[in-house]
Amino acid sequence: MALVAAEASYTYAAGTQYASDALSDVTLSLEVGELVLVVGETGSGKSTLLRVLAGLLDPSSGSVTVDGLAPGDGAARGRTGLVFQNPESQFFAETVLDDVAFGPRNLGQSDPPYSAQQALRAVGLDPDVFGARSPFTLSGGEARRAAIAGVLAFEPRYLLLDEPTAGLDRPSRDAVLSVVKDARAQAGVLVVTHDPEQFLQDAQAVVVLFRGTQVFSGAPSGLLTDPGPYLKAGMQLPDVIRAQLVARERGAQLAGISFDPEEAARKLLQARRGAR
Amino acid sequence: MIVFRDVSFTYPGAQRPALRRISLRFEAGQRVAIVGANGSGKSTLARLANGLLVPCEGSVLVDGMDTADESRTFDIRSRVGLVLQNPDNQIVGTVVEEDVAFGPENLGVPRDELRARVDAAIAAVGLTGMERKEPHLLSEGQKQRLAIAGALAMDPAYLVLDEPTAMLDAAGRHAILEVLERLVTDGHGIVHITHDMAETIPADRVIALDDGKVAFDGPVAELLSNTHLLLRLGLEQPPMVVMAAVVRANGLEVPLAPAPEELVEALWRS
Ligand SMILES: Nc1ncnc2c1ncn2[C@@H]1O[C@H](COP(=O)(O)OP(=O)(O)OP(=O)(O)O)[C@@H](O)[C@H]1O
Ligand SMILES: Nc1ncnc2c1ncn2[C@@H]1O[C@H](COP(=O)(O)OP(=O)(O)O)[C@@H](O)[C@H]1O
Ligand SMILES: [Mg+2]
Ligand SMILES: [Mg+2]
Repeated sequence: MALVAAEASYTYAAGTQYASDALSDVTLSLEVGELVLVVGETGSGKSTLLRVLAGLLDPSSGSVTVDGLAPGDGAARGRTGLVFQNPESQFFAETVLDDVAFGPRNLGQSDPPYSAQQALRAVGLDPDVFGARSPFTLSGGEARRAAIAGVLAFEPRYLLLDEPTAGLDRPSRDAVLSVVKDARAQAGVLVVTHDPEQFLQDAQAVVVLFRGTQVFSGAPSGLLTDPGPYLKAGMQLPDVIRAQLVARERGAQLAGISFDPEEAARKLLQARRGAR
Repeated sequence: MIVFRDVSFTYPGAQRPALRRISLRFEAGQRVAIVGANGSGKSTLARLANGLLVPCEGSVLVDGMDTADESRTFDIRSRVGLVLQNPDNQIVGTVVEEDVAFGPENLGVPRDELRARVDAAIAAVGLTGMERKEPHLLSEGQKQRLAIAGALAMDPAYLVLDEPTAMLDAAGRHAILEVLERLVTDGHGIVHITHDMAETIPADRVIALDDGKVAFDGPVAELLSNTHLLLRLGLEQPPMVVMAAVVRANGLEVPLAPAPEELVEALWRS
């Protein structure tokens, strides 16, 4: 069982003079328990990939299947949950609580896995403070978390999150990271992010997109041994990782790369001592 | 100068104020970073700075003009550019270049100058080649760049940017930070709201908001080295500042926020 894209391509405005190939031949699979990261420069096709995986766009060629079913199949309904990059485009109800409760209600879940209240709490929003508010009046970071809660509430088997930590303060980001961790007990999670370092430790796979094509796909360690494809795709390595790679170039013996700055600094100090 | 004088603001129907008795000054030629937890009042402050919102109590003065004085709204908006957190709320044109031209056209910029301004703004944010694209067909990061271009084209004396890099990749972030650097050098006043603490480093001054109040207003280095205050405010040290602190605690000399190469150089040189 998995959410699978097989050589999926997507062209916006196909057949017109404005046709643009946003996605070309992308193949990936997301299984329950897995965390997959998708990275790439602005406009590389990340959000398009999520829309295709969620069944919002039909691939122009290739296919997407949810546990072997077509995304549009009634039986596949509710198995995939997508949180948009711009959370405001996702809201429609009059109150935050109604918005979050809509998913389970719409899917006819009489006993939703999370109550709307619980889902809000999981992302660090107090339902007593935010529940009765209009979702359109939330601050940027509050809105992003409310949108995530709305998808958590119906417990999809495949969770697709577009920039889930953008614009969040430290405690909120920690809340979202632990939501992602917990969700993996019963779901596969795919995260699009410009800040991969916070997820790399836990990710099984990283997909690097460049102008719609997949230029790397594999374990994060592969990218660290040879960041070539990452750099060629117009990306920059996070500073903490770069510091360690630069140290290696200078002959430092480092066992593995750390994503945590404190740990990374201690490793560098240790390697320096070892060198004298 | 933009002056906030004892400003409080409560949204209609809200239980609690978004800003309480804020007094601040933003000067031309200065780059100010604004940080704070989600909901601390940053975007509200931004909207008050150009008169999109007016204070419930206190006043906001832009080069002496009160934002509550409706007869000055046009002058104020043309002096204070605002890039909203959600670019969708700001994009009006049917194609990219039209959207960028919208602001300066409204200001009465002559035709020949308009073209130059629009092209320069589009180039500054890296959207060259997309002039004829419809904004709703852009990726979110591209929309964010478009919103910034629109503000740049108006050539405002002050530019307030609400998380302008939140949807951008690393290269896009650098490009925007460079644009800000250039604007400050040219004497513009910059107010830059961000959650990325590393982006505060080049600022002349940083303001931290906490629950609608000013919790810190001073030099960046002072805030970034005060881990207790950062924790209390829901903020954090940028990764390179954390790395440098560990190295410094071991008796080596490194700057507050070194580049990765600089840190390694310091380690292996000494
Ligand atoms: N239109 C509105 N109506 C009612 N309350 C609002 C409205 N807009 C914002 N608020 C509330 O005012 C407070 C400050 O919001 P603001 O948008 O200024 O926060 P912020 O610091 O920009 O947060 P973020 O980092 O999440 O963008 C928050 O509690 C928010 O929920
Ligand atoms: N609705 C649309 N119509 C036409 N082109 C689009 C549309 N949405 C996105 N694009 C284009 O497709 C490409 C990929 O966009 P997107 O998937 O949003 O990128 P990313 O999420 O990686 O930033 C970009 O060139 C973008 O301009
Ligand atoms: Mg996107
Ligand atoms: Mg905000």
